[in-house]
Amino acid sequence: MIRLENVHKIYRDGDQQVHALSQVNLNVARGETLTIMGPSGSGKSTLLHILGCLDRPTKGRYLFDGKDVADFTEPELARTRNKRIGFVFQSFNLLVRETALENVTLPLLYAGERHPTTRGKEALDSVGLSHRYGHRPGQLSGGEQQRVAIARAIVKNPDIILADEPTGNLDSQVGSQIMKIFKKVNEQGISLVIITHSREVARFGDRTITIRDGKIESA
Amino acid sequence: MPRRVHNWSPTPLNFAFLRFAMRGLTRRPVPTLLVLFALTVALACTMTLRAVLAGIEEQVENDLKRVGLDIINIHVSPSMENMFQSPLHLGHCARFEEITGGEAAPFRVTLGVATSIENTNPTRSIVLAVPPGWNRMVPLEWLEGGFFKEGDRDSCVLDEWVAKHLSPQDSLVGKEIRLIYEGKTRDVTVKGVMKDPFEIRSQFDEFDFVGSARSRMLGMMEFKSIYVLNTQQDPDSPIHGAIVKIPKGKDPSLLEDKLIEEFSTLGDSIWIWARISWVSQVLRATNIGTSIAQAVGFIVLIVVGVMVTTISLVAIRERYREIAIRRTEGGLRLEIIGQLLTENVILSGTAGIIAILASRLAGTIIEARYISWTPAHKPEDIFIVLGLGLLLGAFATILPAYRASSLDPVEVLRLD
Repeated sequence: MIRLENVHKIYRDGDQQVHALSQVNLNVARGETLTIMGPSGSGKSTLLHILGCLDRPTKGRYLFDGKDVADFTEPELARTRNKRIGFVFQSFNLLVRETALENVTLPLLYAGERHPTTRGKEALDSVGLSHRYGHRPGQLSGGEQQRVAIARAIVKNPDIILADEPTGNLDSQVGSQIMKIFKKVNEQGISLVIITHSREVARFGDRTITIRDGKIESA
Repeated sequence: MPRRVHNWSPTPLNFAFLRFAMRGLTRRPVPTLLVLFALTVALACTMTLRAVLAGIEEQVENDLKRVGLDIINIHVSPSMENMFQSPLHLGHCARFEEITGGEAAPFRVTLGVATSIENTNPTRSIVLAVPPGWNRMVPLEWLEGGFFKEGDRDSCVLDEWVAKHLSPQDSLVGKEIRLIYEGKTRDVTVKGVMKDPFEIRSQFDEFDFVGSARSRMLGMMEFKSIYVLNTQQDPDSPIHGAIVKIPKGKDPSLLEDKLIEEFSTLGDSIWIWARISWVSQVLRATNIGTSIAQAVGFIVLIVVGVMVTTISLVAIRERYREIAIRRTEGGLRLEIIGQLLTENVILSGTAGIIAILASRLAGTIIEARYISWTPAHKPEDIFIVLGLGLLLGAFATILPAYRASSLDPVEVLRLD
């Protein structure tokens, strides 16, 4: 479903070039769970942003479902993010002034969904938050906020969910609960790409790759 | 991959715009109230200013209409020579009527002194000897009584100012006064007292914006006269002027030109002017004030526009994280701009509505306390103010919204 061919990402920092990713080749199959490990600054997040159509490679090809993302216009990238890719971040990235339900229905509203509330409630129910529809992020625990973020990712029924250290801000018990939810999501045929520093989380994947200095060291 | 179609049917997204916008406004009360206040004040000031200025023009125009705009005034230029050896005589009236197709009424002007019959309260005044049909020629308003008729030889009509000087307390109508003019003393009966058509005598000393325009009119028409019956018959009898009532459908300005051309041989010794020409003269005087005030209003709007833009810039900058999340979840740049614009449209629309009500109230207070005319709130001003408000709101938002929507969401979320 996802294929990276010789992808490079180079940032400019004044006169210097920073190679965030070099010669990255990667495939993610439908329904697969891939975990990515590596030290801080190794390029994991950059890779995730490219996979999430939030950024474009400087060189190389990124094929999403056989189509070259380089050919996508800005609205097409937005539509891809909106309908086909779910995001879960370490810091949850919820809208603090919106309720849990409103946060979950956000992508549906941008997709022009006519009954977002029903689907939003279903998503929150599936992550065990049926009693928290009207709560704002500030009124929820870290684990609950992350569950809201997962509900926001799955509500659009995506092809893939990209998670950037989803348990990084949670204690091990809550982290384990979150991973169980991810497992359930994966069982529905949704691919997962999870960045993690935790070997425990990494074990959860079908496959783990390690990135160092922008290059994939082991696959 | 097909592009997302933007239609503005009431889809949940469009309602969400409104909900997001309302939430954005209510959850940030300080910038919201600041912008609302600044916009309301600027718009209310602009609208009040427009109403006050439009009120001046309306008032001046109405004042002039009340003394008759279908009249051409012809009179000798004010010099001692013309007073005693007038170049005009009664026979000229027939020529005035022939050229204009209207009706001419001659008058003779003398300086006189009026006193009560007991010789008290002497009042210097202009004595105008006019034919009995004078009251048909110009619209007159009466405090009491009426104009004299044919044969009312020993009678007179007073302007309000004269009547008040002669008898501040009691009515003079039906009573005799003593009149000294053309070297003779006559006791005449007062038939009526005419109202000052401008009702400005009491206000004339006050400072107001119309003062300059009105003093011009006052200089041209002194409502401090005593009217007596002109009994002249001989066409060679000297007169000091005439008023010519122009028939309906004819342009007084054109006929004014014709008369000026016809009597050009008399040079500067006579003045011919259509009263309608005053309107443009007087309005020109008020227009200068109007233009200055409008320029001031425009500057105020620009200053407020810059202020609101700054507030919007700060308010939107605080929302970069929210905007980045929206972009990550598939919000298009256009939709982000649309949402922020919706917020300011709601805000500036509300400011516009409050400003309309506030300007009505301000107009009433200003009229009651500071000015002598009624501010004219024109219906189109409502649309102008609402339009200006929306324009100002959009202008203040579009740049910060465009900047915010152009940010790289990855960068914003990483910095956050």
